Amino acid sequence: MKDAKTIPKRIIFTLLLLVVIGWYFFPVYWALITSFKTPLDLMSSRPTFFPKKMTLSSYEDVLLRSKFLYYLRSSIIIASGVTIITLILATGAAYSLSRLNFKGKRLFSNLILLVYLFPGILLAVPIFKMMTKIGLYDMLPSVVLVHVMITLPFCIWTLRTFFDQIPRSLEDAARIDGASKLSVLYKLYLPLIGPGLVTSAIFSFVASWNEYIFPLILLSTPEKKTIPVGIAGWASSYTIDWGQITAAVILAIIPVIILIQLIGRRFVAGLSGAIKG
Amino acid sequence: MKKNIAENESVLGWILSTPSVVWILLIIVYPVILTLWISLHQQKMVEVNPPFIGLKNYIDLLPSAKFLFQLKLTLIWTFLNIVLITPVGVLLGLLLNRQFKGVGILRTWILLSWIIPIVATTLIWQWMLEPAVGIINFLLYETGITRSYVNFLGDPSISMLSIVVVNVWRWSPFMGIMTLAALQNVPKEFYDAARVDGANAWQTFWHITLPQIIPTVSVTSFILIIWLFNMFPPIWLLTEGGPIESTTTLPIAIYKEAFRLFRMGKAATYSIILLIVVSAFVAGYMMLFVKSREEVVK
Repeated sequence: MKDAKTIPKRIIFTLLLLVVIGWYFFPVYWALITSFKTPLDLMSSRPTFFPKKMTLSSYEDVLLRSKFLYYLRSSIIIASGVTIITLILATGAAYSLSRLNFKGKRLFSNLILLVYLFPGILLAVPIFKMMTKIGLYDMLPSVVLVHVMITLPFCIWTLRTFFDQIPRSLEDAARIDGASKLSVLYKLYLPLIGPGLVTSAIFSFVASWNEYIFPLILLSTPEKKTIPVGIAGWASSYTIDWGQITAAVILAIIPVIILIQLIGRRFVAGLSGAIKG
Repeated sequence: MKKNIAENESVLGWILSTPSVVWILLIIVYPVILTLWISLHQQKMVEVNPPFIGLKNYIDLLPSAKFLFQLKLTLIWTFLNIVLITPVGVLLGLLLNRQFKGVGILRTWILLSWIIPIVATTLIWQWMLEPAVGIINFLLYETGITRSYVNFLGDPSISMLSIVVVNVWRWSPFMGIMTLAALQNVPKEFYDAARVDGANAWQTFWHITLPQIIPTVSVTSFILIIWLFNMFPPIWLLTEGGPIESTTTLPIAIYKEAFRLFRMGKAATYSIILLIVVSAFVAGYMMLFVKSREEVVK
């Protein structure tokens, strides 16, 4: 009796699960498959779901016969700069929000929340004017300056929860031994919030790596473009090579895969924590 | 004396948070003031001293049919997205809250579509929606759902719907993860009590699960509405606001005015109007948020 009721239920559940998995993962699978197809296969009116003949020629085209490696260089320089600056600023801010009492603390944490909600496109015009004025237009640091603003709120929130979890008694013990507040931060806290720093670092790198608007408006030299801006341009040329585009897309996704693999769970937790404030 | 400064909590707090505050002021607050200034001038590209024209930009823009049409498109875009993302995301969260083989892996990998670069999303979907050899057209035609190949992104009657579907693919996992987090915070005792009282699955969902996730879902929706209203990359990358202006929402209009038509003054005017809308939303959000939080504390 019970089985007769649960078996159809299980079938429905399995089907639903397959639909969900197909809907969210098929597009990425399709890009992956396309990137390995031969040019002839690509233009076939009957697409194959698994290529009979796999080739790496699209990847060769991307890496050897396009500007991709220039884009890669820009993306890595910008994302690394953003990561380092974010970690330094966020650690100090998170420590002071978690452990110190000072006037304006509340205002500061509200300000961070505000940034979280602030849409990037509203800054396009003034940031463009500012960067032109101070001579940073078409320079990589201009994008770094803006991206730090995007990564700071999440990293401050994440690190703050890590600081909050450390028992105060540890600090008190160190203080009795005569350590100053700053040396407590460096010697005691930094090693303990290590996982938080790793999470923040990977998040900052990926957020900057993915971001599209600011490198689009601030960089004009083709060799300085980042990967997103560079490869987006390939889709609006007259002869679109989808093999090459999907290969570049797959390469652009790699850091994201690393993020999910290494810090996926913690990232999910941080995300829901940041929204709840 | 030097030791005292480093020991004073107030001073140290300020020293450590000032760089972040300055950064935020420099990249957000100052640019907003600058935008206001630009919107009051006839700024074309980057001339140093553009002529002051007062509110002319606003007077020209606000009552124009073009602006009202773009505002309407922005509202349609936001509405369609939110009414699809919220239920799809909540259902996804409910699904991920169940126990089955591989659920742990799925709970993290479900973020994939949300976390890949937006450019990757749009390029993949442009390829799948391709009008001549795209997989979606192939499948729809072969299964008899459509009678001919559809130009999803190039046909003004369907372009808006196409970009919404792509955006739902990208953003529903975000809502799903938030819902999942809320579901996992529901105390187990609630379900035990319901079972003791003999509640069926539907009653349990309606009286226990739903009230517990509504606060999270509504806050997330609120934030999403703000983001959607101002969303630029997916629309620009998929259609550039076309075909025939059918997807030119306000953020697209800002970009076009500024970087295609080189009318910075006009673009700044659009930005300020959008900012006022966002501020109203944020003020509403803050009031709700702060109020409910204080009630919890009491």
